[in-house]
Amino acid sequence: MTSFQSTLADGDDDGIAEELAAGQREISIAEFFEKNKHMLGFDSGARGLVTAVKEAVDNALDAAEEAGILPDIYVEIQESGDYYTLVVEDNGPGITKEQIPKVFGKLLYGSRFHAREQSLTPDQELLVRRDGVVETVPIGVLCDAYLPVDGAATAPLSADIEVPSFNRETHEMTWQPVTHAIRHETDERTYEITTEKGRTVEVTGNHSLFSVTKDGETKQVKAGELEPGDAVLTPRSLPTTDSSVESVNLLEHLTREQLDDRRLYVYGFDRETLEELRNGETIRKKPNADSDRKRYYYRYDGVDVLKDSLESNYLEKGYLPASTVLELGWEEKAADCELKTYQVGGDETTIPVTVPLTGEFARLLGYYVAEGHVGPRQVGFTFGSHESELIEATEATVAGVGGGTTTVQRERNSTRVKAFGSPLAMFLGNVCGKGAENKRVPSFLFDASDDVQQEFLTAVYQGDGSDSHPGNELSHTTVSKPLARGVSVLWNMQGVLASTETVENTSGYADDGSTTYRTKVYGEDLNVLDAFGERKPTGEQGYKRVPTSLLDDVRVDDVDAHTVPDTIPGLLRAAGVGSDLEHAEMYQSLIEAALDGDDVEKPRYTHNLVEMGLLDAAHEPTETLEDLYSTVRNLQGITETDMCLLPVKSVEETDAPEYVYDISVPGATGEDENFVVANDGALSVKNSRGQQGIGISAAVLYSQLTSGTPAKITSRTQGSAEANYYELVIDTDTNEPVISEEETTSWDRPHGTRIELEMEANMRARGQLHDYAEHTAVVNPHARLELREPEGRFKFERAEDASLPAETEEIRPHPHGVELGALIKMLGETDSRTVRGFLREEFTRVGAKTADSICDAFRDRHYGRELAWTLDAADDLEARVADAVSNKPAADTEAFAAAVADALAERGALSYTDLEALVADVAADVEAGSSFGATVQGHVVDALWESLTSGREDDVYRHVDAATTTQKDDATVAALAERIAAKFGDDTPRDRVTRDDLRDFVERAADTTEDVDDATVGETARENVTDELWAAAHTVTDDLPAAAEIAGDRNLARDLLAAMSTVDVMAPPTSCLAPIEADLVEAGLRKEFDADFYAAATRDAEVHGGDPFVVEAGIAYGGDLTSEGPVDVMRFANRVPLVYQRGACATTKVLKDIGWRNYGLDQPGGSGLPSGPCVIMVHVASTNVPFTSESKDAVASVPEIEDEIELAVREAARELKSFLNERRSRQKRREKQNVIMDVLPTMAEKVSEMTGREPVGVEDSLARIMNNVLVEREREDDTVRLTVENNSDANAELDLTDIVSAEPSDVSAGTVVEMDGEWFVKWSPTVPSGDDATLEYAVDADADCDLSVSGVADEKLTVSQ
Amino acid sequence: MSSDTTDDAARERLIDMAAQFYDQFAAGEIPNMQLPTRSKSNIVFDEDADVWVYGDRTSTRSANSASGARKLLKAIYTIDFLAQQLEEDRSSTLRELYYLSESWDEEAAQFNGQSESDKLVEDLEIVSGVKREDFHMRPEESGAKVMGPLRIREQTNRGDREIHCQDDVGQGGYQIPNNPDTIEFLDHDVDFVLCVETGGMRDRLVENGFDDDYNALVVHLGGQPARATRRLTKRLHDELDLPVTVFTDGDPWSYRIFGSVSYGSIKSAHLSEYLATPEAQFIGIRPADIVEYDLPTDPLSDSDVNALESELEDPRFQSEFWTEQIELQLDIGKKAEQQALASRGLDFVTDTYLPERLGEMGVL
Repeated sequence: MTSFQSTLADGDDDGIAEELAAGQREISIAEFFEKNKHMLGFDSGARGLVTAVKEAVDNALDAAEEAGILPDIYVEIQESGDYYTLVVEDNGPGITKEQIPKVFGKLLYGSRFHAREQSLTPDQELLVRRDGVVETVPIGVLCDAYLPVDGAATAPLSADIEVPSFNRETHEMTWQPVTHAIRHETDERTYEITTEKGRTVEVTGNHSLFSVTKDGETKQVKAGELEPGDAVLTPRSLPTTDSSVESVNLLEHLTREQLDDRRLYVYGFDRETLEELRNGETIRKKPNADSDRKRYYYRYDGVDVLKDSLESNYLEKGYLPASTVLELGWEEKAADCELKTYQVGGDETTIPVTVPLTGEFARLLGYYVAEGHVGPRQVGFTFGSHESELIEATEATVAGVGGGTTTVQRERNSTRVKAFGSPLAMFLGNVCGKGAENKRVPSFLFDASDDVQQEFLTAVYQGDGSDSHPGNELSHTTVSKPLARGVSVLWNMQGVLASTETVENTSGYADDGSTTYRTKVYGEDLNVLDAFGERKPTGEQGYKRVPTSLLDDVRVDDVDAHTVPDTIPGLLRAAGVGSDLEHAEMYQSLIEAALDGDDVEKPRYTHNLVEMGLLDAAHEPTETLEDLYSTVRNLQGITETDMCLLPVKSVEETDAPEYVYDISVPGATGEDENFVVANDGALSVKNSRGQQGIGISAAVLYSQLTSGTPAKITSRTQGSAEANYYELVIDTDTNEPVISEEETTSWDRPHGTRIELEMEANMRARGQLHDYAEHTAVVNPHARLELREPEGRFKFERAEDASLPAETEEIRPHPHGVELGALIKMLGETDSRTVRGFLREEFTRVGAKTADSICDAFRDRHYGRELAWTLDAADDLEARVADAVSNKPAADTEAFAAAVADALAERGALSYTDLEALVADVAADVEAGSSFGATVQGHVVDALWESLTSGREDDVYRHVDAATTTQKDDATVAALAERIAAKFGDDTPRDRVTRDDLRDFVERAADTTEDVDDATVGETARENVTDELWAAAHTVTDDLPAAAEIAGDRNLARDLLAAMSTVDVMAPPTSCLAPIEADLVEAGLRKEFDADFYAAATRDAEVHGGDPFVVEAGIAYGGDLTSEGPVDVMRFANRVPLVYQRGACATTKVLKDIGWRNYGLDQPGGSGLPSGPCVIMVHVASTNVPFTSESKDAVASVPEIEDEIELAVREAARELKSFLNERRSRQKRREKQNVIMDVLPTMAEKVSEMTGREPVGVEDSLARIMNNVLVEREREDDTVRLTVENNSDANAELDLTDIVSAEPSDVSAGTVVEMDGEWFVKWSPTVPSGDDATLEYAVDADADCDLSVSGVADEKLTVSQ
Repeated sequence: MSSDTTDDAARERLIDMAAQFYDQFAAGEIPNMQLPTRSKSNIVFDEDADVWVYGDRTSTRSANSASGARKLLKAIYTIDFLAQQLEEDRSSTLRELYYLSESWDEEAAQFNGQSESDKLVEDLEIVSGVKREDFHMRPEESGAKVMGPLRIREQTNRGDREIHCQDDVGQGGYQIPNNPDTIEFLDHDVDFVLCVETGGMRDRLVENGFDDDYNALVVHLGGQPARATRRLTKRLHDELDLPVTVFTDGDPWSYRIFGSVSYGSIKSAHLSEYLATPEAQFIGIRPADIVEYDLPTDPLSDSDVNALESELEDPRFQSEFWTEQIELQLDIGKKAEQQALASRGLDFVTDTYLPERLGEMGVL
């Protein structure tokens, strides 16, 4: 594994450094594999071999089945020296050379099942160093740059991006490369964690932050489980760079656009350098479109330089226009030159291109950030008139940099220092930002030396800061969030953890902004900056303290403080020893003495120590004391590393975004996995590991990495005369498979593929290997499988009559099973223009009606609905209409008005759209000489709308009244209705609102009503009112955006997806599933297990999400199966055996929860896996089997799937139960026969002897006994079960009466009559010959029962009770 | 049930039973044996005999099931044994029968416990109509003792003996033999029979000379009375026309002792006519006495309460007297021993209580 130690940028030897960096930027596939092998199933030699077999066999099965060939697979494992050779042969169709890389070669990233955890919301700011420049960037922006446009994805980072990452062992913070960008959807909740000192981060609930154990070791804590008061590890000190930046090349911070029309020149090139330009091609062109003649240019490196200028001016005087320098990219070459510019007046200003990054210069930057503003040619600093020291200092530094003339303008309350020199002005504007909200810390300062950074901070605080707070606090306030963040990071780089605050709506410090950001440091931390005088520590800084919660486990007495100093006495106090530090110090000396074995005498203190259980009666240290003290010792010093502990202040759930992001940072040890979020100051969070796909390619890569040998592939395609032999290696730099050898060969199989892999392995997982082969044989009864390993050979023959599994049909996606990214992709690719057509064409189970419902739901979301109002009955509508119509004959107007009024009379509430349609209909139909066109209709609609909306209050009142409880007093309802109604008007054209708008109206109206009228409008009432109004609103008829438009607009697509999920859609068809089918499940079991009994069940397809699935179960019992221990469980997903992680699998969980005793199996303890000679198999087939992890070893717990597993297993288990019952009763009968065969002759002999008669035969009696009707009573706790078994060859019609001394219940199909405190339970069953019947009832276990049976001749009846 | 069966007749009955099985085999039937159901729910009041006997519910024991076949086999072996014993004019105890079965060659015929063999002997009594005494089967425990002005003649193995149950016996009294039918009553001065539950109370009465003073025949029951004691009591009543009184502790178990003397027991309901003395009268201790004499008491335990409640439902206790007394006892929640009377002085029972109670009952 390559080391990630930072060896970058030491400047001397750029070529080599760059090359090295390039090698490290992109994680190699080998690296990736190494990092993720546990997920891929290759984390040990034993497991690697099983996984390789599994992948190769699965591949072979698929290949043969797809080609319609009954699979015949041969697996061989040979020991070969230090390695094992795995050979897998199939009789598939064979593959061509072109297919080989695709099949065996490429390890795919980002398969469908991610380990979806550990993520941040997109706008979380990361502190990164990109190409040596430190900056903050939102994680979403950073990742999106490397990821495909849509959907969940993972991509390696191609740029040199580093983040601060701490070593989990040493807590040392260093810059570490980011290897992958990750984006995915999440079901997780998201939380915003805020700590003391104002750090925040928004993460998914399962995302880890860090804390420490009581022994000072790093531990991960899930964000969703954090609580206020918990301590999280936070960087106290951020890493600076090894080689600090010592100078700044101004040209590098200017842009060409800025320099257009500026007369800015770079002087000081030597002639040699400039003559280089002459080597450029000479071309002729017009200098610009308006020119009337062409001129000669040198075209050098794509830059055109006017020949005349070069020859006559530039070469002579050794200069170039600055814009040309930038065009040429000659910033470096110009490093020793000077920038010259000419003011309007003609004076020139000169500034060196390279300005040393001195403390002075840093101060200038600081002043600028704090007080400065730039104009086109000058930069100004505005100070209060009293800040004379600052004015002088600024003048001096500007002059020092070479800013030419500085002038000081004094005004009444302020003084302006104006520094002329456009390059400086442009530079400051570019690096420090223009305008108060955009100010920031120049990025190169993050790479500057500590001194320089401190000078900058000093200047910033002198300018913008205030140290007027109680002496010991230094506070910086700005309206620029980036500036505040940068200042906080700079403090961190000084080892100081500044406190950050966001203050809303303040006035004073900020010019006008409504949000200001404050960065504060306290006490001795101020000493970092010389300018603010010596500060005395007033107490420990929060981040230098340790939260007392860390000592919860060892605490012996209460402590009132939340944090304590990171000292032995401090920590003792946290553990409850000593009520203040002085006392704790006293205890410390006593405890240390006691632990050293010295006599401890200090009456009151020792007494207390004994009370606390730290000393025993003889004043010897107790174990508790030893524990406590070692904890204290281990913890002490935790805040002296680069990390410190901050208590969590609040944890709030936030609205989860659609996508969340993560990056992969292996860290210095390869396992540190963390980076820094700098939203409001730095905070460390854990990141996930990169992720992976899986397949045979992983096995190929594993073999190549462990043995160094290529994969050897032999393939013969159907019909070809010869086979081809290839050797395949994967280029680990490019992740591209390469065929390294190729030749033709002969092979006895007519077609098929053979792959040979040599790998580091061992046979320790022999059991799993055999299980895998056996299980595969069970679920693939149509396949022949042979496994040969060094110690054995196993053949699994094809089941008779087994045919290939039915081919599955591909189905279109189901509306409930599609994700946003996929939906957008489909929208982009569809041929349908309309959404409706798209839905009908591209999705399964969407007919006209469903499509319409989805479209309406989409309209509701996208356009909102229109509120419908009722007309005021008193209003003279005809007159209104007539008034609105002008320039038409009176008769026509009258007819039209009457027709409109008639139409309105038939209608209830109308929305604007309804009204428009109604008026248009009437206009079209009315029989009048004139036509009523759009303009007239518009007037009429407006007039009527006025009438409709005049009664809004009454309508709203009705809805509110209907939605609220009757207890709500009328005044409140009326007030609420009035306020809601008032929300409609000019701001709601057509009275069209979305549900959110509506909810907002109700919310605001309710709030006001509560405030003003002192009434209560609860959450439920608000929701009900909103629902009622929304239901009363009408869906609009506007045309929906076209499919293509939706594809291009994420928000539209999201609305459509939401609409799709709200509409009920029929479950997807199941023709896409490949169940094995019960009879073949049974055949598979029969083939592999020599048992007494087999049963199988296949359930009907069900759906979870939009994915259909089928569950099947099979049981084999008895025979040669071992009866020791728990039953064998075989788990399958889509016909693939699941070998590992049995305990994590939903299947196992379901099996454990079934009461197996009911089915006749032993279940020790009444729960858990049953025991006995039994095999239980469960197969889940789905278009999307949810797995717990990438290695696909265990089915995740999805309730719908678990239910089906349970039903399938119970179905098979019921058959097992009847088998076992029957077997038990047969056994009883046999036993009975044995006894009677033995007893009867003895009886006969005895009675013959006693009576002195001839010996008598017993055969007839025996025959009767054995061919009778048997009634048996069994009692199990409260249940009485009567079994009638008809052994005769005729139907038996019986009357059974059980006389019970207590009241029976739950009587199965019988009657109960009570007489004198006894209950007569009667049944009259008819039991066919050879059949049996069971009658049950429940009664107290102590009750007496007395059964009498009639209807069957006594001699043919055996009643056993 | 005849009260007297000769050995030959008894043996005859046993052979008959074997023959019955033989016939069943010969007819190709499944061997079986009918028995009255022996439970509380199947006892009925025999109005003629004034005692409780088994009702007509029967259960069949048949060889149709393995356990049924085994039981019948055991019955046949026992029948065979009893027939031989009668033939040889030997006798044995119930316990001996159980141990004896161990020697039988057929393992399936051996008993699992004495309760099984005891029950089987009772079954055979019922089916054959012959008392176990007539099969020469004895219980281990001997009958209790009597004391009073009665002269009898007993046929013993060592010849007939004439005994006066006061003059010829020691302080302990006359020991009732296992089969009291071997006793002949000669003459007596007895006015009434007084059956006493506890040994302590019997001794007190004898010491105080109660038998002399009141011409009482004091019979010691010794807990649940043996068959012989009950049989003798019945004969004293039937043959000498003596009133029989029963004096027990005042608790539910003692009422059952009275019940078995008076009404017969469920276990031996087939012998009620032979053993029960329906005319027997209960003296006490009645719950009413506890109240009346303010006797020292113990609280009723849970099992006492259950037993009392069960007696309320027992057909044998469905009289006004018993219902009233039991309900009273449940009300006061107390019970008292006979000896509790000693709280009023040692002579209280003989000088006051018994004369008063017997007077009330019309015996004195």
